[in-house]
Amino acid sequence: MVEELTNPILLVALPLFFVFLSVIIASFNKKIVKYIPVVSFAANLLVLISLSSKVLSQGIVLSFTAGLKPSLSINLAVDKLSFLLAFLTNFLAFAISIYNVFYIKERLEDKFHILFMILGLSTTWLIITGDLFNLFVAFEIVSVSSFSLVAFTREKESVEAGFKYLVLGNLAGVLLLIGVILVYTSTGTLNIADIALKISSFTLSQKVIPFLFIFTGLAVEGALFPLNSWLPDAHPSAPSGISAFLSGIVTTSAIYGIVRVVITVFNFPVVPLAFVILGLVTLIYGEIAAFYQKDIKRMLAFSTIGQTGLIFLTFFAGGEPSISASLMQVLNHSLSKAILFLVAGSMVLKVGSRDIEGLKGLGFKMRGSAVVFIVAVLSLVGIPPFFGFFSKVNILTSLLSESETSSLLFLVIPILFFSIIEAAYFFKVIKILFTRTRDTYPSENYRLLLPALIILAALILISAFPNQVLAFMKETAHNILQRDFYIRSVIGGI
Amino acid sequence: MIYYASSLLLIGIGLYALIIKKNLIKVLIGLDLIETGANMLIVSIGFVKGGTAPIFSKEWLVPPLFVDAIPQALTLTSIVIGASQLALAAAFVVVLYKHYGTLDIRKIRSLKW
Repeated sequence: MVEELTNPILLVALPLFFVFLSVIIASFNKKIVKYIPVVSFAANLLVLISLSSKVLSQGIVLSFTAGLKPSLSINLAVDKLSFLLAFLTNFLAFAISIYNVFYIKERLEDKFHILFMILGLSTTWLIITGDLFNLFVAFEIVSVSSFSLVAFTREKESVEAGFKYLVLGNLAGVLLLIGVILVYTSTGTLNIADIALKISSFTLSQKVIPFLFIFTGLAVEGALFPLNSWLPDAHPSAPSGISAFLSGIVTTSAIYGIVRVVITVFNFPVVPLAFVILGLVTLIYGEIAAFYQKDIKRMLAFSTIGQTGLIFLTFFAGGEPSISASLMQVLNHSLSKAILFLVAGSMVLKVGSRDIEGLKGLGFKMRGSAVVFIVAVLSLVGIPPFFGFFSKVNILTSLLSESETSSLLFLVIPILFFSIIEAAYFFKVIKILFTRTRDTYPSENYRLLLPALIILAALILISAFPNQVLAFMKETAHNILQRDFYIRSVIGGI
Repeated sequence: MIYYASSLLLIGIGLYALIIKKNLIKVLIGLDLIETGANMLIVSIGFVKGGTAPIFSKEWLVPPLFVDAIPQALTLTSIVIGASQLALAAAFVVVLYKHYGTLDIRKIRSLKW
């Protein structure tokens, strides 16, 4: 029983089963469907917990189709990085599906919950797959489900944002497909480990062209500058739970795709300075644009762009220390940005407008939400008792410790400067929340606060044990860089 | 070679329609052309001149030359994905037309494009 539970294929198969189940149930009773995602993602979390000991001890857990060994079959490979992100995905999906249950709007019907399950399962699939073509298919399913979820309310703005996202996402998919096929023609295989084995004899110029196609495709979804013009429209127009999921993990999962391709598949020898600059430009663009926003969800979306840039630039800024710092920032950003979107969503629902000025005085009425909002902001910005502080400190120390060899010392200044900018615009919102007005608002809906509290509990838990988290991240960073180990485990078929 | 050239040409025409044309339906046609071009590119990569389908019906019947079947399987998947995306896009266009009464991109700008 336990042995069967530890198969990673369940992470995709279980939600898929629940998707079909809910289509059947919806034809009898549409009201029950909204509870099914909660059950489905809770089941996924249980599978992940039962997988955890195996991942931690072996470093990688594999699953093959059709009982054949890879290069002949399709495989899933859950190494420590995949495990971390898959856990984060399913945890956020679990909390957000609770939010969706209570986010009462007559339009949020059964199809919404089914699409959300598909989004969750395909994001997990994208993260745990060990096959390049599966990566493409998962990427496309993530895209299609997020287009339709963004446009789900069928309002002017959201459909337009959805259309814009669709055009760019579709192009990204085609680029990714061409890249995957170019890799296939030169290596004759689609298995990541097998490609990695065969590609080591290639020259740099043979690698660069397929890589550029794949990279550009993934960078659209990962919101790297200048391919991110869809994000500030699409993330705010979606229903708030979806905004939280898209900002919290979907962008990061595309970055994961880039990381997997760069490190495991292509294994570029030099530290890619171009990536660092790309990340830096994304950081600058996102934070400056966020500073000037009048719309709270749009501001959060731009802040996501900035944070993604920070994560991306730290990941490629050096070796193990900076990768582990970057992963800590992933954790910090995903959790706190999801909380911010959920809380901002329930505030917007109360006020009826996304204008920041319109939130004036809301902090006195919705005390619980305001407190949760402040804690998430403090963590995102990096104020001492919370987790964000430890991740920012780690980013800075990792950059400083490697500065002698890689001359990336100058990065410290923009990172610090834009943290201050970020703090400035978030504190502006907090100040508006606590400005007294004569307007009266209905008081808090505590059911909508519950999912934010669940995520907040996780955030506070990791804030209490920063050193243990850092130790785990160091192991994970070590695990990612062990390319030979990955190849040996998959091809050898442990 | 002609297959590569013509599929690249298709992709080029599609990109042209996507960027230059202001009608939403023409933008969709551009997207479709790009996808078709990419699919054609994939199939032509797996093509071997004079090859047959890689089907082994009898043990003694091994064709001397056969085309690579994996790109074709991939193309099928990608056609399905492309079709669903285009259907979704067409649905978006219908809703946009209901809201704005026009298909002109220049008039549909409640967001910054």
